Amino acid sequence: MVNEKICIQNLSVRYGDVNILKDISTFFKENSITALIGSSGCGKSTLLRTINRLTDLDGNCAVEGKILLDKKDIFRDIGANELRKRVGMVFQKPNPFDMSIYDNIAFGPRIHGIKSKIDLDEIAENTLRSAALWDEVKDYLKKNALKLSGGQQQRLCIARALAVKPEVLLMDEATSALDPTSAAKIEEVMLELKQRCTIIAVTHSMAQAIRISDKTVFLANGMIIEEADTAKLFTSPQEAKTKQFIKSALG
Amino acid sequence: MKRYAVSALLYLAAAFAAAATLISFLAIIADIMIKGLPEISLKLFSPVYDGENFSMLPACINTVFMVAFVMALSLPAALFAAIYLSEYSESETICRLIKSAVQTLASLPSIIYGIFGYLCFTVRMKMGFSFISGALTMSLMVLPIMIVSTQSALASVSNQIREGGCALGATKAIVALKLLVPAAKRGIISGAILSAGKVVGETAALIYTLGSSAEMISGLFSSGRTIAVHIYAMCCEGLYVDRAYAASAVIIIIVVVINALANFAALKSREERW
Repeated sequence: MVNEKICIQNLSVRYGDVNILKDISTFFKENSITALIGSSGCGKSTLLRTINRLTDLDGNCAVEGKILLDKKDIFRDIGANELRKRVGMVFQKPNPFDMSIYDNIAFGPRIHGIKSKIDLDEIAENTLRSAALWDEVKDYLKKNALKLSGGQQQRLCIARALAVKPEVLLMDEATSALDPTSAAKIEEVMLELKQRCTIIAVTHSMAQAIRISDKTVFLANGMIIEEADTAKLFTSPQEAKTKQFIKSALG
Repeated sequence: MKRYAVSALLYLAAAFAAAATLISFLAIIADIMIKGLPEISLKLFSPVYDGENFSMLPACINTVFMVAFVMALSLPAALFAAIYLSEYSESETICRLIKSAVQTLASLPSIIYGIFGYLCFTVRMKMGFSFISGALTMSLMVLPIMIVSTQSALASVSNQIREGGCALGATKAIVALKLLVPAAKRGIISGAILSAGKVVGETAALIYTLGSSAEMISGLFSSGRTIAVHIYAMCCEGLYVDRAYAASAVIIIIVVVINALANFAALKSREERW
């Protein structure tokens, strides 16, 4: 019996008149990494943003269907802010806040009521270690986060997301704006985090999906074409569209 | 060939317009400084105004109080109104309606505010010619400008910051106050400077509300005059145009200093981001 951390049932998402996702059903296993692949505009980012209800921010966006987090309906049984605390997100472009490294990490815990300096210090150290950034910044915690390099900023964003102890981590092409060395570091971090998080990652890199994910979901035109264990999907895809996509994506 | 002629003509027109702007600006400054600076004497800064010294010190101090009080009233109000418009209001129609109302208010001539302030605060609410009725009128006047500038500063903050805050489970209020306002600080400050400049330079809206008593104000309900009103009064009386020039020179220096300070503060806060 697999533990389904997130279960998606007949999900459709529309922006105005455009159907982005059409009647999608799938699930994401606890403590695993799932890769979402597909060409640009296939709806994979939208799927990710529906899971933490960031789609709510856009008035034009209409969602139908159900998403269950630990069997609870995220649209009915869980408040949006509570949901986003449990389901963290790392964006394509690093988006640290214009404040110190320390305050970036403390931002989440502080808004959820953690005030004690001792607790915050501990959270800062732990999350920065988890994001493999501690050794590089431990002497500069007061430095403005915008002074960090792109790769460091992205790891800071991971640490910031981890600071509220999310159960699920959504990563929207989190390495695509980074150089290969920084990307490799983040992949290592993801493999490490799998122990305590369920990770869902949108990626444009097939190589990355193969390296880090346990399961891969292939979307096209807002529909799931095929999903399987990563090794299986890439070695023996069942659908013609999948075969074609993998072939063209791997070159 | 014709195209070159047109473009040369356009270039000349643009250069001429730029030069005319610069020259008229410099001419005004030079005129006021040349006629005004020699008139400045210690007498003009005596603590108490009388018919001999025509001291502008009380007016200077009144102006400072006026600017501070109007800012204290309108900055928070403008901030929250702008946050509502840019982050909360769901209905586009209402939002557009409020925005166009605000923009219309921002372009009304100041005498309209003066008459309104006179009828509403001075007469109806029995505040008389007083600092408080002047300050309320000025707040009404600068509020639309500050709302518009604050709102556009907030709107120009990258969506990535909003999403980043939201994704951590922050409420809209926290995202707005802790992330967007600090990020929009520069735009908000420049709107406030613009408004402070308006307060310093305003006469029409103040004559019928603050009044034009030449003494330093002694409380919320006492009448007074700001420097601009002082200049206006001096000119009106016809006999003291030289003093008006001196006061004008002082007001220009004050405005330059305020602008320099504000720019310095903005620069400083940017450096502190370290």
